[in-house]
Amino acid sequence: MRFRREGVEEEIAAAARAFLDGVWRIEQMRANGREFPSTLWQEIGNVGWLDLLVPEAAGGLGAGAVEAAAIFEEAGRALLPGPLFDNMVALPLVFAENGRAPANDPVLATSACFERADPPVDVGGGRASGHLVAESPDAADILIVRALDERRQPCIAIVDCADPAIEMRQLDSLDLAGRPFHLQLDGAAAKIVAEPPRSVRLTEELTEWGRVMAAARMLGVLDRLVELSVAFAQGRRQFGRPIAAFQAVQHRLADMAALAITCRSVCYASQWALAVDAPDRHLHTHTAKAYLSRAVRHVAEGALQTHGGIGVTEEYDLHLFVKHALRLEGSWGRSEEHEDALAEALFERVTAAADIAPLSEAQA
Amino acid sequence: MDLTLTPRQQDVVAGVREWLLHEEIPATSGDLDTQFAAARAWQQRLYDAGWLGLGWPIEYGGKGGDRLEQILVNSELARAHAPLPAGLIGLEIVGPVILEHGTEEQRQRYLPSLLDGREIWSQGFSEPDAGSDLASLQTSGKVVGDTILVNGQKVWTSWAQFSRWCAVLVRTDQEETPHKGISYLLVDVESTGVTIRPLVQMTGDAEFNEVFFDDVEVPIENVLGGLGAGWQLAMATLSHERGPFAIRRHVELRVALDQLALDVQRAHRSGTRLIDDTEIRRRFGRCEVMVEALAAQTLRIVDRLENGGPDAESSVDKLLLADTEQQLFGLALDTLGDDRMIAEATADGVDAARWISGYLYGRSASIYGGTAEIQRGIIAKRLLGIETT
Repeated sequence: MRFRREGVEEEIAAAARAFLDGVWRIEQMRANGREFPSTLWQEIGNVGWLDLLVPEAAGGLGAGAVEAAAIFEEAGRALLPGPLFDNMVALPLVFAENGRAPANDPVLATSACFERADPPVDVGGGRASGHLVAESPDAADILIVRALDERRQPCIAIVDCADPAIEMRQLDSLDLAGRPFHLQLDGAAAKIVAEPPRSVRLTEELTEWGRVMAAARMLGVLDRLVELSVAFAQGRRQFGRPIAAFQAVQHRLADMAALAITCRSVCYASQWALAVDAPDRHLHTHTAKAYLSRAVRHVAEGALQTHGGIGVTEEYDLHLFVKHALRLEGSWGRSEEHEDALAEALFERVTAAADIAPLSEAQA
Repeated sequence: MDLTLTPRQQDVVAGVREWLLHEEIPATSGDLDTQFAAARAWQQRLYDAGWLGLGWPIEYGGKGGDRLEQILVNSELARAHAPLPAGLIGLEIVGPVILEHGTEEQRQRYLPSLLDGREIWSQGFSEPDAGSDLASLQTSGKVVGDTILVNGQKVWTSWAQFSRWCAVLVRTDQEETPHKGISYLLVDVESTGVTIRPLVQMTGDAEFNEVFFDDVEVPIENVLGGLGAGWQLAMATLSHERGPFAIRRHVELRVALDQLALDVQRAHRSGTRLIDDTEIRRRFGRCEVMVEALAAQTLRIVDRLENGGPDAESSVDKLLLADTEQQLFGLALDTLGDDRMIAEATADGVDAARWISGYLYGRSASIYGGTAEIQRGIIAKRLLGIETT
C-alpha cells in the first residue's frame, strides 16, 4: 500500500510547480489583477494541462483525479487566476464522448454554476435566459451552464460567450486570483449537450470533482500560509530573539503544520476515492471539502496573527493568500452544508444497519 | 498512490471476518479482575487462531507476514467490538522494541510468551517528579557486578498489577548527561522488593499503579540495548506506540460514533427529538468529518510504517487522535439530559454510563504517551526546524 504521490504523479506536481514559477509571479497579479492573463493561459494550453483528463483515445493524456489534483494544489500555491476547473475538468467531462469541445480548435470555457443547487438558466428553442456569476467569461469562447429545459428538466447547455444577448459586468473581487463577472443572458444562443439522465449524473460527477479539486487548491494555499508563517516567525526578532522561540507562537505554528499534514491525508483519500470510483466516494468528497474549508480558515487566521502588523498591510503578500483561501472556503458548498449532509448519511447508515424504522415512520 | 491490498492482505481480512462470524466475542462487563481474565483468555484464543504476531518473525512465535496484516486484523477486531487483548502493552509497545533492539536470547526468552498472553508486560517510565520531563527520572540502577540494584518509584504504570514483567527506565550513570545515563531494564515484577499499589482513576477503574522498587536485584543480561541506551529506546517506544495505536483507536472511535448516532435516535430533550436539533445534528456531521479525517491519516501512518517517513509525524497523529476523541465524547456528553451524571442507561436508550465514562477517559487522550504540549514542541522542533530555546 502506498499513500503518497510518486512516479508520474510526482513528476506532474514538480513540473507544474516549475512551470508556474517560470510563468506566473504575484507581482504580475498585483500589476494587472483585473486583466485576463492571456499569455499565461496560452502557456497553460501549450503545456498540456487542459488535455490531462482527456482520454488517450481522444488524444489526451488519460490521467485521473490524483494527477489533476496535483496541478490544482500547485495552482493554489501560486494563486493562479482563470477558469482552471472549467477547462481542465468540466470541459473533458461534459464532452466525454470525444474529449473535446464541439469545435476542433482549442476552446476556452467558463462555467461556475455547478457549485449551486438551482440551475440559474432556462433554455428553450435554442435560447438561454437567466443570470449567473462566472469566471473570466470575457476571455472564454463558451459558457457551460446548468439549465432547465422547456419541460423543466435539468440539462447542461453551452452558450456562445460572444453572443450580444449576454450582458457582462466585471465584479470587484477582493481575491485577485479570481475575475468574476455577472452575466445576464437574454435569449443568448444555446445548445443542450446533456439531458436526463446523463445531465443529472454529470452534474453529480462535476460536483464531486469540484469539491476534491477545491480541496486540493486549498491545500496548496494552506501549505504556503504555513511556510510563510514559519519563515516569518524565525526571522522576526522581538525581546532579543526570534518570535518562533516563544512557546505561544511555536505551538500555534505546530498546530497549523499538523493541520497541513492531516489535510494532505484527507485530500489524497478523496482523490483516490474519485480515481477508483469508490462506492462511498461522496462521503470522501464531502469530508475533504468540509475539513479543508475549516482548516484553511483556521490556518489563514493563524498566519495573520503570527505576522502581526506587517501581515495586515496591503504591500505584504500574505493577504492575497488569505483572501484566496476565504474565497475557496466558500466555494462548492460551505463546510456546514457538507457536515449536515454527512450527519444525514451517518444517521441513515446506522439506522439501516440496525434495522430500526426510519425516522419518518418512527414519528408517525 | 495505490491503496489496493495484496492478495495475501485481502485473504487475511477475509479470514478474520469469517472467523469472527463463528466466534463468540467476550463481554467486557464485570469488575477489573474479571475483565482482565477475560481479555487474557481472549488473547490466547486470538493467538491460537493465528490473529496475533502476523508481522513478527516465525522464530519468535509470529507469522512472518507484513505489518499491515496485523493492522488490518486489529481493525476488523475493533469493528466487531472485540475487547483488546490483555497483553496490549507487550504486543504493541515493549515487544516491538525487544524485537528491534534485543539480543537473540532476549527475543527467544520474551517474545513467544508475550504474544500468546502467558506473560503480561507493563511499562515503568513516568515518576512522581518526571512526567513530561522524562529525562529527569531518578529511579536508580546501581551496577554491582552482574546485577543492577534498582531503587525508586514509578507512577501511572498501566496494568502493572496484572503484569509479570515491567520495562523500566532507570538511571545507571549519575555522572553522564541526563539523557545518556538512562538504561532500559526488563524487570521481573515477582522479584523481591517490588511493590505495586493500584491507583483508582476518575472513571472508577484502577488501570494505573504506583510501582516501588526497594533494592530490587535485576540481572545485567536484562538490560535492553546496552547500558545507557535507555533514552533512545524510550523515544523509539513512544513513536512505535503512537502510530499503530492511532490506527486501532480510530476504528474504536468509528464504532463509538456509530453507536452514539444510533443511541440518540429515540432520545428527546425538552420535548424535542434530539436529532431534530440542528446544532446537535451538525456536531454529528463535524464528528463524522473528524473521524473520516483520522481514517485518512491512518493511511498515511501505514504508508510511513511501511515505506518510511519522519518519526516525528507521529506527534501529528497523536494530536489529531486526541482532538477527535475529545470532540466525539464531548458531543456524547451533550446528548445526555439534565441528569447526565447518573451513570445508568436513560429510558430513551442513551447509555449514559458509557458516554460519561468515555468522556472522562477521553480527557487523558491529550495527556498519556506525551501531552499535547509535548507533541507541539516535537512538531515545532523536528518537523519545522524551529530552535526551541
